[in-house]
Amino acid sequence: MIELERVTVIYNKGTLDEKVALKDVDLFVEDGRFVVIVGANGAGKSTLMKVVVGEVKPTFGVCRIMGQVLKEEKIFKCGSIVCQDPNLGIFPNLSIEENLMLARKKGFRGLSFGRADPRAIELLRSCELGLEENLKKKASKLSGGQKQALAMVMAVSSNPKLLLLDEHTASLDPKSTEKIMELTDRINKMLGTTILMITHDMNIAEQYGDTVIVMEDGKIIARIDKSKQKIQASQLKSMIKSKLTATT
Amino acid sequence: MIAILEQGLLLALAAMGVYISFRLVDLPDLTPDGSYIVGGAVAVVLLRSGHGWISATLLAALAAGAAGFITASISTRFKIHTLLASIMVMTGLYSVAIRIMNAPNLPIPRFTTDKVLSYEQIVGKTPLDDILGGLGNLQYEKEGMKAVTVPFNNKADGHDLILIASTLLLISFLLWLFLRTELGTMLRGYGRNRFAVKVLGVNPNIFALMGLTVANFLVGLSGALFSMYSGFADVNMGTGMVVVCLASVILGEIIFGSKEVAYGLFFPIVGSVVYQILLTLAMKYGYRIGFKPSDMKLLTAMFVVSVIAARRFKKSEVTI
Repeated sequence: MIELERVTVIYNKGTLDEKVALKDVDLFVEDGRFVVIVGANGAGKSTLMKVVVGEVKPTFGVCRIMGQVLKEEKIFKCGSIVCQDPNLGIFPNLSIEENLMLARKKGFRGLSFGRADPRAIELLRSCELGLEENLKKKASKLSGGQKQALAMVMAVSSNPKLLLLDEHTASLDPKSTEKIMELTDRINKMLGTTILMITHDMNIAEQYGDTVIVMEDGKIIARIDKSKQKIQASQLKSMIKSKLTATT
Repeated sequence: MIAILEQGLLLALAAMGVYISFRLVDLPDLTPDGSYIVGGAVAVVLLRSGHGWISATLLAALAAGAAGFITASISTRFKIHTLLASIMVMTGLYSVAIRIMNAPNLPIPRFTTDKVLSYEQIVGKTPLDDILGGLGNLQYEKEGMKAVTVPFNNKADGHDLILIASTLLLISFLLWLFLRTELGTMLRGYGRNRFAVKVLGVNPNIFALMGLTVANFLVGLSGALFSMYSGFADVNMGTGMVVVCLASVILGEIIFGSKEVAYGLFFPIVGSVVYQILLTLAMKYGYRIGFKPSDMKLLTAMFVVSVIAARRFKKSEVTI
């Protein structure tokens, strides 16, 4: 699904402000996997995400999505992204129903009168946040957790093959974080959507995902496959920490 | 009162355009100052060349819509803020309007001709006609001239009001219907979150083009109808149009409060009528406090600024 081959990203190349954000990164994410990337601030997680969505072009190396080098608009036709700010994933001036109606499919729209996908409403119900009972409510009136849940459901309504999550729980309270992460896990297991998630919350990396990738200083310093290595959740946290301390 | 309503509803069409650009798609656009004149100029020139009033109005509105399209194209293509792009287009349209009319202003004659027109031919009946007896329409037609038909009779008998109100209602209904469709819903969504449009795999620039074209189409329509209503087009008639329309929209928002009826399309309609009533009152009774009709634009600008300032202090949801 995602293939990064010796990707290096240098910002402001050839100037005094030159900064190497990614160094020779190799990454392969198979279809249907749930990959979690962890690392401290400045480790290169966000740059890696920008390379995957086509926002940043690698200075060296290549990034392929489904075997092809795609432009940003093409990537969004087969994938979706949910960002840290809950307001980025929704249309705040539209009702929940209108938001779901637009998210039903990708691409340009015609002059038809669409409706929200019943499966999306069902997924919304499974979040147990009461959103499905207030479909006419404007999205701007929702809480941060409710907005992010709506953004998640919208992101998967069009059945994308790839879901990119850029610290999507960072601005939420612990209860909302738990609900959103349960929804994320359900999306991966029920719909088979490939997920690439960035977080700096070790507890989330412990509990969710099949593979944890640890990044530091623009490099991938460890890949931990939970299923293959049969690691207990409590062990994982210490493994990540040891990997991070070993390099410093 | 009928004349006030007529003028208020004519202004409402332009205010609806400004509402679309400033509120619905959230792209501050000053093109209406120029597209209003273009609408008027094209309509008058087409009427003079023998076109019917319907085709003249539609073509005039399309020409104004094209001006909005150009503003949006400059803004999206060269990544220039719409405000700056629209200032440039608006400035250019001043010259374009003079080119279209081949003069800074142009009256609508009663008959088309390729001959030099006399004063009577341009303005119709004069006081002298009553005393000496006029040539009469038949005389002009015998001379091979074609009557110029405008839809308004300016008699304040309700005929013009019905025509203007039905045009406005039809436009409002079509817009409301469009904004309910998936495309229209996405256009409304674009106004608040361009990124989400991009994530849905759609180029957000399409909505900038669409929004400003529709907005200026309505402004041009208003300009064309106003020219027919008043019997002339003048290159200065669009000056301050954006501020006046914005004041109308704000008035409508204040009256309706947080109740957004029909996606807010009623804000500019009600606001324009109230603005026109306030304008008439100011002109009729303002002299008592030393107010001159020419002060109205200054007062309008001060009103818009004070509302913006009040909203900033109150941290209101709606800002300009």
